[in-house]
Amino acid sequence: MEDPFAELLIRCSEQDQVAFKQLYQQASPKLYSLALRLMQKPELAEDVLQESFIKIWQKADTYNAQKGKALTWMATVTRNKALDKLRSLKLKSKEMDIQYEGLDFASTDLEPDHQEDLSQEMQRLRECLKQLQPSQRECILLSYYYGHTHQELSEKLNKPLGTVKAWIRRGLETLKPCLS
Amino acid sequence: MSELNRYQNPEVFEKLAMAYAAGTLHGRARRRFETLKNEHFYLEATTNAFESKFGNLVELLPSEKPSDRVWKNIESQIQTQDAAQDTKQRGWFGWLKPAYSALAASALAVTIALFLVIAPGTSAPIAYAAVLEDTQNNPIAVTRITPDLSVSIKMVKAIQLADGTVLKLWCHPKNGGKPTEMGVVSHTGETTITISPEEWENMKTVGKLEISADSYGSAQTSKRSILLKGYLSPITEK
Repeated sequence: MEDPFAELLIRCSEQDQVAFKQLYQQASPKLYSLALRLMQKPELAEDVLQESFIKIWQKADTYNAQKGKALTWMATVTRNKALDKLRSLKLKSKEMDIQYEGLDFASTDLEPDHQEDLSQEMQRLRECLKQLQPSQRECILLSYYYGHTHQELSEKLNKPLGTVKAWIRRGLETLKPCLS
Repeated sequence: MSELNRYQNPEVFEKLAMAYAAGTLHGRARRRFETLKNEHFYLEATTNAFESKFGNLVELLPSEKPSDRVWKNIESQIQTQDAAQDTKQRGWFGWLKPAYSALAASALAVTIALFLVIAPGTSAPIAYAAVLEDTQNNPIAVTRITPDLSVSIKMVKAIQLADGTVLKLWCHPKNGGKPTEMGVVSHTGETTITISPEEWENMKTVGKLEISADSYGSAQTSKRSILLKGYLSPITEK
């Protein structure tokens, strides 16, 4: 099996706790990194990570390897948990000390240091993102990684709200045929 | 156009599903979409497909190690849940035991053990759903398989069929192997196919659905023209 996480997830669906520990050890650094950017506070990000892995354990049998990679499935679980928590805590970015920001890890030309480590699916997504104008790409990536609203992006980038909305709309329109 | 009708329009719901998955849908619009997504499996399936694409972005993030406390909490929570489940099973057994002979109790224990092997997860699917797309990835049909042993196929857009051809629904096993023909499907509107309890049980092993255009009376082994395909998603209680 090409996706080692998928193999571990399938074993988790059979209640294999050894596989679950391995899955946690291998996948948690990336998922925690995602939670940190969305939550901005390590203690909140750790809560999100914990709740996400409990859900991953409970729902492992619903994962279908034919529909996508295991890491992307787990990233979706983590991201949705983080957004739910932000909503329940009614946290606003203005009220928090911003510790994690920017897109240095994605770089403007989307050429990371270790390209060879990227999956084929990520390389394909990267090619699609390269078709966007930098401003469109920046807005979409900031929304995904940090959960910024249109208003927050407008303030952060110092651009009118309408401009930000237009960038996002056009960016998604450009991405759609490429992702299909 | 009512809100629900808007969401049944593929042009509209695909854009919303994509914005939801990318994280650019916020506030009330996001909550409204989540409510509809939880009620309508075709919205859920389309959203899942986009989430799977955008989820790859996690690969670009630098790795950050969480504190050891997180794993300890997870491990402890899982073990507590397992213990609670064991107690629950013992409780059932204890309640039933006086009513049965030792032989019957043993048989029941074997049955419980077999059940746990067949259904290892804590949440068995209550239904299955798939959005079937054409070769250009346009959603054309939505399929729902429910425990009342029915497979409903609803065409969002009618399919143009050549004379002498018929549409057929096929199930592909997750682990490869020959597809199973489920029945003939109308090119428009909604079709319901009845399945056997055994076929319902086997749905957990199905990965992909396809709709083909076949000539009337063609043999199962003849070459099929695949018009639509989509992956089957289990639906579990939240």
